[in-house]
Amino acid sequence: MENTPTIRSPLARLLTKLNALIEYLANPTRFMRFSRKILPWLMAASALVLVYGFYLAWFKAPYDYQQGHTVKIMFIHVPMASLGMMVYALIAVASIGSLIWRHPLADVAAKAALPIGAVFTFLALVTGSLWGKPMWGTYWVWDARLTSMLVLFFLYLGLMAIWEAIDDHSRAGRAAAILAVVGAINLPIIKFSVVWWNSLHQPASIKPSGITIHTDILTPLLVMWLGFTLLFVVLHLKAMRAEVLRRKVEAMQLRRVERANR
Amino acid sequence: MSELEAWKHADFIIACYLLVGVFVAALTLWIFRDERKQNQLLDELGEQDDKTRS
Repeated sequence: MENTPTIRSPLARLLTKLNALIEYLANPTRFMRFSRKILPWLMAASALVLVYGFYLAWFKAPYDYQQGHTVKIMFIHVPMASLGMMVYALIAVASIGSLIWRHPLADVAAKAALPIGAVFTFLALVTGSLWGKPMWGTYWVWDARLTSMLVLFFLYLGLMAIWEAIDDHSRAGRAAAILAVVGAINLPIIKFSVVWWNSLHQPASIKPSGITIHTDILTPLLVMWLGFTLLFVVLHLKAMRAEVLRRKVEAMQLRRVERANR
Repeated sequence: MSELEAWKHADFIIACYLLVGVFVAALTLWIFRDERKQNQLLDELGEQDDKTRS
């Protein structure tokens, strides 16, 4: 029978490549080598994009006809809020990888992302609150979007508490992974809270049906979002490297204690 | 709205940017220092093991 070449979509090819990269990085030594090589480039890119983003936000973006220059708060609030959710989605995916495939770096990735996601979510809540006072007349309302974001922040704190409370890495990883996967139900609640409930928070401005933000405001917003996303990748890789090293140190210390007891 | 009116809530804007700057800088420093600390510990343990063997 004649062999027919299979036609694969670009998405399928990208997923295959991504899967190959994840399998390649399953070895911690390879991960350390790979991350050491790409980190300087990522750090430089993150710094450049953030500086350019701040320049656009402060010196180029016009003021909004209703909000005035208070719209500048959105250039940091929106990236913080979206990253707070994206980091949690990453933690949930890594937790599934840890629970089902026992990928050696999955729980390292999930644990390392926790403090970063917690800080981003906290900053989203505080900057939103500081924007709310002059615009809504109040720092806080028990609105569906605000409350579900607060729940996300508590989920981060809960997951960090589990890692701190349980000494055994595999037990802590399993417990945290289960909570992370269950807690992922909060993500669609946050996303659709403005649609499902009568919310004070405005609905999404970037939708598949169209964008309702003017380019002059959208450009600095996207540049800032890209800058903070790159910063997250840098911080996450660094935190993962620290965690891999910490586990090596602990294993060496344990071997020394065992040798001394013999 | 005049340019002056547009800056009416400048204190809130500056507070947001300062807060984000301080928290992100502190997080970055903490993560970078943690990695350096673990590297140092690993080097020290490696050196001690080498001495014990020799």
